[in-house]
Amino acid sequence: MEENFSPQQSLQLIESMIKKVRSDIGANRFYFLFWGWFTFLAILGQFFLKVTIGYQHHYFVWLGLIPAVTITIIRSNKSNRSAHTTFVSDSMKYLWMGIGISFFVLSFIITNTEGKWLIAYPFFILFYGLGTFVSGMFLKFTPLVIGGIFNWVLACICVLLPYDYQLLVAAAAILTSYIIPGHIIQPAKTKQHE
Amino acid sequence: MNETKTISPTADSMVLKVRRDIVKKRFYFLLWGWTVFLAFLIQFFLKAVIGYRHHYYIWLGLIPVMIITFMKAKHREKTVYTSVVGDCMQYLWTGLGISFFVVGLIGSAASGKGATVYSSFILLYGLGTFVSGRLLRFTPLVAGGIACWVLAVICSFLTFDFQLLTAAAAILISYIIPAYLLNPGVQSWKTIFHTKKA
Repeated sequence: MEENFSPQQSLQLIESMIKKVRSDIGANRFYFLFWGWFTFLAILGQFFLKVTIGYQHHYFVWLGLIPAVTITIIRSNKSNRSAHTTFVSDSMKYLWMGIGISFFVLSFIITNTEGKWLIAYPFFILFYGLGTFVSGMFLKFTPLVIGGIFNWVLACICVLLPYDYQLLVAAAAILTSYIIPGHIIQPAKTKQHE
Repeated sequence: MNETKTISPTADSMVLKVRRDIVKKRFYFLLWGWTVFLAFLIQFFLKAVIGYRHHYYIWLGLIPVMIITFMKAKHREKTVYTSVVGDCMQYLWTGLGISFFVVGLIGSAASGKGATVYSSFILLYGLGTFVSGRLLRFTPLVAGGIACWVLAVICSFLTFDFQLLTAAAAILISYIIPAYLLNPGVQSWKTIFHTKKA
């Protein structure tokens, strides 16, 4: 059952796993950028509606999630799925599955707190930073590591601000941890994917 | 299109290696698990039962535990072998450690807004336990992680005194019990069930 590796073989294996996952991420760049820009613009839109115009139902901007989810489902059904999984790709999947559930649980917790949604954004940015930092470490991709650390700093700043400005901090968090690394990561080459 | 999932057999041996490393370090897991668990229970006793004002003094008990850990770790030979599984675990818990610290900062800054810090701690704890369980393919940790998420929600409904008990339960379920089950003699829940039946 158990295999013995030389240290070099282990390193080569790890390197190949990381390259494979990075190439998969490159192939799925569309989703990163699509969701990054969508969330970023939605937050800025909410800030504009609430602070500048003073529109009462500023949160209606999040109804844009319905077409965004529909586009994602349709597009992912059309694209071919990678049949090969590596330990690193599985780790990424488990990590973001856990972060996703944590966001869901956090929503329940926040509705029970005294401050309710006033405290939501710092915690969301914190979890977001955690996922980004650990992903960056898994993939040995520095822009994600930096984005994660920056998000933790933003989470600390966010809690000191009034709700309106927390929206801008959340937009900055999306920009630094999702959009910028999404643009930096190399798009996958077609041959490599085959 | 059928999706066939293939994982390199080398990943299995790496998981086994990391699990064996953890078994070797069981002493630390159990020492810390029991210390924190008992500290929560004693803090609850001091605060809710006796009504002692400085109930948080109990956490000073962590100092001798830190010294014991430091001294024992110094005498151990260090594992030279690193694997992708071990690295992933290290990165995950480094991230969680920093997050615990940030939650502490957010909690102290937002005390006026009623932030439930214990719920957030249990939530983070559940996340780490769940992901570790999936990485190590060890069901008790996955189950412990899910239980922590449920406890985090319950915790947010409770007063501070009872939040302490919830935190103690989280440590018991997600740390102490899996650490005992990771004993080389006890392989999985299936084994326990099978042995009992026999």
